[in-house]
Amino acid sequence: MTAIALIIAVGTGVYAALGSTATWRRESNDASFAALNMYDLRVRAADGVDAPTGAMRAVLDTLPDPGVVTSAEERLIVPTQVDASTATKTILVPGRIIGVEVAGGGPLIDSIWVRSGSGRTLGQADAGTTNVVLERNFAKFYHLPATGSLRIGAHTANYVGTGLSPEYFFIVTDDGSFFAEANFAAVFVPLDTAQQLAGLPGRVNDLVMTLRPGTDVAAVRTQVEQAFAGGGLGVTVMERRDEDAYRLLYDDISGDQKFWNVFAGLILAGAAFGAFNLASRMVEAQRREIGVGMALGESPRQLALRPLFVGVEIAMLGVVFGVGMGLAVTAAIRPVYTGLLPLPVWHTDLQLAMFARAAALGFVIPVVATAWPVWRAVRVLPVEAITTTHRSSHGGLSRLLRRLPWPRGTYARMPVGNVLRTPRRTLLTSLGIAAAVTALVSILGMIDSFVDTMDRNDREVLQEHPDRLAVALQGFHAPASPELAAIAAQPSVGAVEPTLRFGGRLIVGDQPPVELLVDVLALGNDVWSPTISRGAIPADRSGLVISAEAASDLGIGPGSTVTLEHPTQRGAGLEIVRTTIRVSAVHPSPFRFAAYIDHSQLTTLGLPDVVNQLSVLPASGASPADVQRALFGTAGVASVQPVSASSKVVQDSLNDFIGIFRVLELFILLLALLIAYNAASINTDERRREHATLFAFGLPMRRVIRMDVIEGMLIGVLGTGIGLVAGMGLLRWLTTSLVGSTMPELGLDVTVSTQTVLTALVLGVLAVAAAPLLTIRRLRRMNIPDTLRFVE
Amino acid sequence: MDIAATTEHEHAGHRPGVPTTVLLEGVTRSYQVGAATVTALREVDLEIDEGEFAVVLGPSGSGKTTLLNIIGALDAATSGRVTIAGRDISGADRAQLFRVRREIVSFIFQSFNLFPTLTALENVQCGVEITRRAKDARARAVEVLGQVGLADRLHHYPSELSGGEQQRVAIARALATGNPLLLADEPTGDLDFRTGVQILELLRAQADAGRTVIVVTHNREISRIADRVIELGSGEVVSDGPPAGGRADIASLRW
Repeated sequence: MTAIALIIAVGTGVYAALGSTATWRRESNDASFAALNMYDLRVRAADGVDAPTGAMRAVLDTLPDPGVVTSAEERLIVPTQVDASTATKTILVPGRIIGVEVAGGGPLIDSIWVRSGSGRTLGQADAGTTNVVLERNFAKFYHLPATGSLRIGAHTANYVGTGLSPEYFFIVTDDGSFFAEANFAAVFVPLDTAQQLAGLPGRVNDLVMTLRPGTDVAAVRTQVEQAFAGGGLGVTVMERRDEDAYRLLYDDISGDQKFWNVFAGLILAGAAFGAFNLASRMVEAQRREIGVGMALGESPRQLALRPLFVGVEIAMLGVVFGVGMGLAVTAAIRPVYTGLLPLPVWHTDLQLAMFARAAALGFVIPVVATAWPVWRAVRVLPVEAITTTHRSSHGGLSRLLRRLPWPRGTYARMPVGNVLRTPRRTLLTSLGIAAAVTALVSILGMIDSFVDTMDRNDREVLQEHPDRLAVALQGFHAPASPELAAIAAQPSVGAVEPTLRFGGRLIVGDQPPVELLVDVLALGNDVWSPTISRGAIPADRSGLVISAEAASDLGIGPGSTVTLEHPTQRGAGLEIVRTTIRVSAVHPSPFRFAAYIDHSQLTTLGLPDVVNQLSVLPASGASPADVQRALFGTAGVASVQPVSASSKVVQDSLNDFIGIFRVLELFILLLALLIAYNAASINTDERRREHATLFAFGLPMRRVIRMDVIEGMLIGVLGTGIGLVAGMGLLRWLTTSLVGSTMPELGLDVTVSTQTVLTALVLGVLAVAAAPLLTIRRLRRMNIPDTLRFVE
Repeated sequence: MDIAATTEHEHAGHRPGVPTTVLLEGVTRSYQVGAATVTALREVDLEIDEGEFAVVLGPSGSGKTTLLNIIGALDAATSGRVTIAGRDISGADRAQLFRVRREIVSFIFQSFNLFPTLTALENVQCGVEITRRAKDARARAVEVLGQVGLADRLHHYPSELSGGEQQRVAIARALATGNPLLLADEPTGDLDFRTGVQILELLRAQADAGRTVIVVTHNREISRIADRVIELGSGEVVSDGPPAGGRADIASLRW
């Protein structure tokens, strides 16, 4: 009884905990953004445009109802480069100076939260000093201490703490890279200091404000836009949802929840199969009492009541255990989540509604699981119920064995016969194991697929130059410009390959366009060039090289003619035009947006011969860090990053996410073990006479156990086989349907590694096969004579 | 466990020159039931010879099943000495008891205890495989099933056989082991008279062929075909000797 309740508890506990994550995240997001007083509206001046301090705030006074703005702060935000190198590691990244008002005790809108032990935030006393706060995600990624010094451009600053701020809860760079904390350092600086560092004394370019509660934000936004129109600042007015960090943290929730629901459902299904199996065996064990009752004239309803009461008891116990198990799963998942998404406030309280739903399921499953076999039991004739010959002794499908010449030995035939003897029971046990294995394979397969896809990306990006660096330039430069010449002249810089990168769209018929990031470079150059997996670069080097994912999504390939929407030069400016172009080849990068055109085709696209990116190899004897140091602060250079850095961030994020999977893995293992052990335990009870007979004939315990192990192994193999097939099917569905819709830019390879298959086999086969070992003690204590004489 | 040579012992009904298969000397078996001690067997001395057909009679609780269990190495005596086929199993460990059961004793049960997922042939084959005595266990099983008249039921499962046929399979399983001591606990208890007689004929034939057969039963009529009738009462042997009026022919049995 306790065993069935425990199995139900694992299912409902995981269901309740995983079902709670959406609420946790939503509530934690709400609380975190509220705690740091995130802006309601933000006004950004156009790049390179600024205004005198106070000017932007003054515009708000012209609003129809100025009182709607409850607070406003001006900021100066400028790009920079940050050198946070330590004694052992070179850390040179692009960054951002965020000059904030500290006069009132630090920024009060989009304030900075510094956790205990991570230094302090900015205060009034920091005004005019070079005391700054370093963005925490960046500091955490590089394991930087709570306080220290760093270089912002050419200046040295002391960071007095590492903190979180709403716009940087989730790091997204201007070019749209997620999880960009390795490549981006935001530095919060007192406003006047920021103005000095940026060489813009008395200037601001950003305004954040909060509005009166209940205000129609969209309406005020329009008023603010109108108020700033014609002011020469070229402002963009943003609501919270326009902020990447805010939008992504919320948008991500429902996709993740769908994902968890699938696994929670699977684990619950496994528990339900296990409960049905065990409950039906429990009722079957009472069939004689039911038969005697029927013979004595008791009504089926009366007879059904007692086992149903037991079902209700199990259900109640399952609910109690389920709440405990749910709290245990919650406790295990909580630190993984809080580590993955370091919000200042985390609400991971017991979600009563979710637990109530899980408790209801935990109640219904065992009651139904008991009612079904009870209904079957009271429908038979009393004589059939009273018979001393056990139902299962009729053989089930074991007669199939008669036609099988193999295995010939009875020790081997007996376990096979036992598996076939009760096909429904075997199937239910196998399905319980299968559900657990399905969940495991799809979870681990998802990790495998991400890892494999990232590996494919690494192979493509790194090729034979793992020390290659990507240099982003500030603006566009002619290939022969002095800036590029200065970069190439650095002693640590070896080969340099200039690239022009622009955004475009690939259009095929009426299909939705695919966004592209097109690199114009000399295809086949010595520094880096895309690998060609299909098609070929023609002799005249014409055509577009697209990703396999784009080709697959649009149903095109080498030789297809497509429309490329791209910028082209018109007079002194640029305009978007459409050019018909042939797809010459396909490259293996998993990113759908990656596309390449040979440098010789610039004129075809009407583009000027300029570059905004460089691929750089370190000179012989120089390291990537040498190149980073050499180019840090060099004119025209926006950032210098080893190309391996971005994939490391993704890998690190993936590792954090894997932590949740590891927690689930533990509970899946627990569920499988409970199902397996209970099945083995009931088997031992049901087969006690056979075991006693074998013992009476002198068959040693180890041989009997071996037979039980083989029987468990057969069930395990069946369950694992079903689970592997179902798991791979589910994985395919998850990657194509769920991930495909949430991350269309990523062409995920569906991969199940050998390690995953081995893990599934260990869980599904070895765990089930080993379960009979847990019954050894009971077998050793068996009273053989009593068991042999026992008449059912 | 001392393994002594099978020796001849003088006792009631002993046939000179015939070795003793079962030798119990002062065997007591008591159980602890809560605070009380229940003595199932009390200072029992008993010798049964090779090829003897012995019937153990007695009312419920007289200790006959305990006696059978001790002889069959399924249970250990609290005190006294038990020698089976020359092996002293007093104080034997678990593995040694298993070996005695594998090499010396074969059981026939009232409720047959056949393996439901094995055919008649496989059930018997299983018995042979446990003893590892015959090279071709399957051929041996076919041979013995033929001897008990089930040559045409080899591939039937227990559920496809009548009660009598199932008991004959159980006897065949015990015979096929080739073990010298056959222990039958109420072998006809679940069978009708005609089938019961057939079973007794088979058992009698085993004793006539030189195996020691010990049958525990409530059925006094069965004792008429025995060489020896041992009657127990309150854990003690109350009588031991040939059946009153001499050994009867099986055809004369009625119950």
